Amino acid sequence: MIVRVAAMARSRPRLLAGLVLLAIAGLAALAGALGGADPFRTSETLLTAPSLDHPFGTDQLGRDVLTRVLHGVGTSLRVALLSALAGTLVATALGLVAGYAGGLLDDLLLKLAEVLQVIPAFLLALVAAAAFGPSLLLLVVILAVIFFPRTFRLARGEAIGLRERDFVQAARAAGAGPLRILRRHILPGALTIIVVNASFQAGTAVLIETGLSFLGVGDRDAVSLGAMLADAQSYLAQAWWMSLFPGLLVSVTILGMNLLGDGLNELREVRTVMPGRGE
Amino acid sequence: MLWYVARRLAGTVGLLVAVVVATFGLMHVAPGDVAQVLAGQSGDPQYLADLREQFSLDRSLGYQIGAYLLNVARGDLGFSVVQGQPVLDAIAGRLPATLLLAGTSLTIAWAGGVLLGVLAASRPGSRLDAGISIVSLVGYSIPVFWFGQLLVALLAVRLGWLPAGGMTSAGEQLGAFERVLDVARHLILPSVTLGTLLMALVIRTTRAAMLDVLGDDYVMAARGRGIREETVLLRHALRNALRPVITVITAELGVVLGVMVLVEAVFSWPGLGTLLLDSVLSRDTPTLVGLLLFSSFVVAAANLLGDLLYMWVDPRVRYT
Repeated sequence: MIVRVAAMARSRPRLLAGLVLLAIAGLAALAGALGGADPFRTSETLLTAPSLDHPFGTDQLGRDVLTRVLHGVGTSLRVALLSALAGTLVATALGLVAGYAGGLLDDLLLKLAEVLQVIPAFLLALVAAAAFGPSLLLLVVILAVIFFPRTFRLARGEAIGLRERDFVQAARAAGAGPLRILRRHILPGALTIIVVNASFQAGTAVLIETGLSFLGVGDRDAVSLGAMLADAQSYLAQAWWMSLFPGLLVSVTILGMNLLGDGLNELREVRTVMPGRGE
Repeated sequence: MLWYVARRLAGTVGLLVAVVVATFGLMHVAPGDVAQVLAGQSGDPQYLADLREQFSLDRSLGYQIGAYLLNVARGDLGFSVVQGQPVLDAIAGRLPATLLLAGTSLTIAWAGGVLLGVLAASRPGSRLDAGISIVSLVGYSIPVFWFGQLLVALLAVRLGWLPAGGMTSAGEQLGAFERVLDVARHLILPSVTLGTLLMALVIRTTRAAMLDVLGDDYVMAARGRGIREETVLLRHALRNALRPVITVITAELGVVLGVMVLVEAVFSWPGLGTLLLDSVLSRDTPTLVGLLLFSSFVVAAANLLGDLLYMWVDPRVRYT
């Protein structure tokens, strides 16, 4: 085991580093969920520096920063996983079908992707969150919509590229139906690039979730690292711990997801795909 | 060529119409409207109805969209009651601050990013390469609002070297030269914050594109002719590598506009981002729709410009 980890550290440092950082974030979220401490409980000890009682200090309402950070990571991870998963499933399915079948459906979905791509994603999320009232479920839906164009184009491109290849034509000649061809022959070829893409999108999801909460349009019922950083903004002179710890944890989570994406991409052993861009 | 530009322009107009329809639809199905905000929580029902009539909120969605599109075609983005001025004026008033910040950040990002990207690609697999790649990945992953906060905490609050926010020092009588210096001092922290994020992006793209090009035959041929390595890197390889870099930066303009809101919020920078945030919080629909339309226009225009730049950088590319 140790030997294998050491070998991986040499050959795939990014993948390993990404997995380690995500494990830290995952354990933190788990500790928050199982710890039982109430992240909203206020106390008389306002703005106290890190101590044994409060390892990460307390905030302006006397809430324990450590407890809040653990819960905040949980919120970010939930949003990231759900949105990346939902967005990837829907967009991949539509992209594969559209690319393979072509025709009117393909044209329509491509136009939709084009429109969504010119609207700046974060602004769209901001306006929608403000318009409908902030909720985590809504945020997941918005993120899935935002992620649609890129994943759709990726899956569509793969399907078009693989459609006329010999092994697909052979399967078609052997009498395989379109669904079987998509599932057995085209999806496996497109899978790696889509997983890489989903990994970067999870990182973007965390950025957008914390960013919206930072601006005050996040879900008030869930602890968000972004909202904690917004609180910290007013106390930068007195309470550095209010900014440092939430910020570190957001960064660790996002960096983990981006490293994972990079590492998986290296496995494909083609040149690096940029996170967050079209095509 | 001309035909291509014309077709792209027509496509862009179609896209923008779709953006208007989508934004209007979104605001329409959302609960509450600007009349409620103006009338307040315990608003008089008659006053509310009057307000709705005044803003055509009682008309059908189709009517509202149609009227809006006609106005946009005439260069009128509507009137913002919250701002007390036409939306176009509100946007024009905030645009210079945003352009100043974006321009400075992009300059930092391009200058530093291309340099570091080429450096990293010149010795792939070296310590230098690994270091630059890690720095750029970290720069890309740290939330821009936290990075800004760290800079403020350290350089403004603790050391007091630079102002923590705003664009000018309030209440001081300054000469023209001092005013420029004053704005420049306020500009440093926000533009370094935004510039670092963008630089990370440019580094990553430049490095990948350079490595791609450096494997090509003509680079080997240039090296074989004994041309100096710096010349090969900068004159031969970089020119071709710039193509994907241009695409990424224009394609990422939407991201830049989004991040702008966060940076402006951290530094209280009086630009379009703060205007957008204000209009979100006050349900100022005309300004919101105007801003979304404006930024979508900027993104679409940048994409078109990026494709044209492509042709200039690489004469092999021709569109029909």
